[in-house]
Amino acid sequence: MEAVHTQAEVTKRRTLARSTLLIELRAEDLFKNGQRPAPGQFVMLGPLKEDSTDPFLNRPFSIHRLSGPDRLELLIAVVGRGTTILGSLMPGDRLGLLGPLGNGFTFPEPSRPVVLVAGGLGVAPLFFLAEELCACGVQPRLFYGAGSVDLLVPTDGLQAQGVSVKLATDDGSAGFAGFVSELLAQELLNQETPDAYSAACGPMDMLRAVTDLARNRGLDLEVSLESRMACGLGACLGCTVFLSTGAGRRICCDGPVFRAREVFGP
Amino acid sequence: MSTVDLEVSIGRLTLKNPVMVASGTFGYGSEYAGFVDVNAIGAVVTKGISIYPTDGNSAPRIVETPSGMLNAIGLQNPGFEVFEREKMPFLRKLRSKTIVNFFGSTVEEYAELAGRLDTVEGVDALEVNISCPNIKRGGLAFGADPQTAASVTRAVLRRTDKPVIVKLSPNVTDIVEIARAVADTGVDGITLINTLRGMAIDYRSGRALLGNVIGGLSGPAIRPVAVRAVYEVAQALDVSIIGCGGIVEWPDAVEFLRAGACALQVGSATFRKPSAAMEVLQGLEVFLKKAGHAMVGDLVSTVKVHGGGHP
Ligand SMILES: Cc1cc2nc3c(=O)[nH]c(=O)nc-3n(C[C@H](O)[C@H](O)[C@H](O)COP(=O)(O)OP(=O)(O)OC[C@H]3O[C@@H](n4cnc5c(N)ncnc54)[C@H](O)[C@@H]3O)c2cc1C
Ligand SMILES: Cc1cc2nc3c(=O)[nH]c(=O)nc-3n(C[C@H](O)[C@H](O)[C@H](O)COP(=O)(O)O)c2cc1C
Ligand code: FES
Repeated sequence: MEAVHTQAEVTKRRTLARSTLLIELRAEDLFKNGQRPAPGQFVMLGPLKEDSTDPFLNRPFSIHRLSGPDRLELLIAVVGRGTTILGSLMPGDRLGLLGPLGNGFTFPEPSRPVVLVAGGLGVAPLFFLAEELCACGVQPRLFYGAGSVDLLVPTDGLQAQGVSVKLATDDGSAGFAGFVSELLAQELLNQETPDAYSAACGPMDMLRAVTDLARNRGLDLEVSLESRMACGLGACLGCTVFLSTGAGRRICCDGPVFRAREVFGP
Repeated sequence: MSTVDLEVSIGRLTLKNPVMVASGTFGYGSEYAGFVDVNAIGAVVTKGISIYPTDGNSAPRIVETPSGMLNAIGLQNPGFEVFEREKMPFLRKLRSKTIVNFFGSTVEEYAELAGRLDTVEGVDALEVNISCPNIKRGGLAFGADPQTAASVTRAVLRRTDKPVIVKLSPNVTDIVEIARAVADTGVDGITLINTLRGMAIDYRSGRALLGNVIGGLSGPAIRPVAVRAVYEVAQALDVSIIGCGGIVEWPDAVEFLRAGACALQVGSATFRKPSAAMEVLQGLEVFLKKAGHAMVGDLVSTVKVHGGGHP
């Protein structure tokens, strides 16, 4: 759909995990004429302060879920100045929203098995994709890793919809002890997934490890990338990433979703 | 309220109003077309182009800083041919003027590109970038020395009949000296200023935050430097000045006009609010009307300085 620049209203705010907030926004302009954002797309929030130019730039966040006919949810990790300001928003507060931006995941044909791999806050857009898949009768498998149990966002809602979830934590406080890529390696060894579609979002090192696995096992993998952004619209060229071929791509509008092999090499 | 004539002239270039969007902050116009009325503003200044495509610098290319940002894009652009084929059709249809910002790595490259742009229908003026801090050769190297700046400008003027604007860098000891050398060539106008060289370091890891280590500072943080540059040049020379640097809202625009600019460019503020330039224009028009001014020129160089003595 065409992106819009609008004022969104905070309708809900909840803590889901340590330093991790769920913020629901009402932004009816994103749903005009029967349009709706697609999984993997993101929004830019800001200006963060109406009466000050500090912080100066707006902040990008993946669309985490659609929670109503005019509502979207974001999952926000409070990591710095901007997210601290966003974390103090209360229901009724309004702020600028630009979106939906970016390309989103290639929605797989319903006949294919689906494997989703999330590291940390990378789980944000994969919730949306998982829910849309469930709505089409696909029951994806989600591998989800975080540093420790208190950083994991609850997944019972997804499980109730038919997603099978396997957790990993670096310190072993929940699920598999180790990286989610290691968990995935183990699981893929046990199970053949020839024509599966897979999507991953998380830190670069994790995406690289998952891409190596996918390459070895012939998985069709898409990865969602992050970078510093100023405009979010393809105008500033601040978010350019160089693909393995050397070609430059703007993460905000050519991405954020790319074929893993384009990014990390065939 | 009376009506205001918003039209301004920058040498041979006439704009329906004084507000433009600055190079590199508005892409090639089409990126923002879905959100704002691009036709409302006086001109779109394009992202800088070169003869051949340029990849630009490695990531990270932007870092937020207090009331501003550093960028080290490295003048990434698709090159003249792709620009003409893919970007001009949109720009040609606009009712705003199109000013093409460009650069080269030798005087001859500047001249050749000026010659090619001269033939492109729909290009209303050229803005010569001799002030980019983000490329190793060219850019700033041409803008830091009065003789070199003048010779690039003369070479460009010889190859085009279109109006020529030269964009200067604040990263010099004496901006008036450079501006004078450029103005003496007979250019139509001077844009003041491009970004200030800057750097930021993550204090924990010790890492430089930009891939290119050093970048260009923009945003409200540089506004006082830009206003000073406009003021100094306006006091010394008789040349049309386009003020640029940290304009976020309309009072900032008035500040630049008072300092001596006759037109304005809104840059990084567009990243916060796509409609920043359009809102600056609206606010400026209302201000002029309320103050009873008939035209933009009434405000130009109206700064009052404190009169020496004590209160
Ligand atoms: C496409 C995309 C989707 C994202 N989705 C989410 C999400 O769903 N949930 C979430 O919590 N975070 C997400 N992020 C990361 C989020 O944008 C940053 O964590 C946030 O901007 C940090 O802002 P800050 O002011 O708190 O941090 P600071 O470190 O103070 O920020 C300073 C500057 O760095 C930038 N920055 C810092 N970290 C990142 C990062 N990881 N990626 C890009 N820019 C960064 C900021 O935007 C800002 O310009 C996403 C980033 C991108 C590019
Ligand atoms: C991301 C970015 C890219 C830029 N690219 C160019 C460019 O290609 N050519 C140029 O002359 N100036 C370029 N500039 C400088 C701006 O046009 C402007 O001079 C500067 O940002 C100061 O204005 P501002 O504070 O309003 O942003 C760029 C600035 C930014 C932030
Ligand atoms: S964030 Fe500006 S081009 Fe991607």
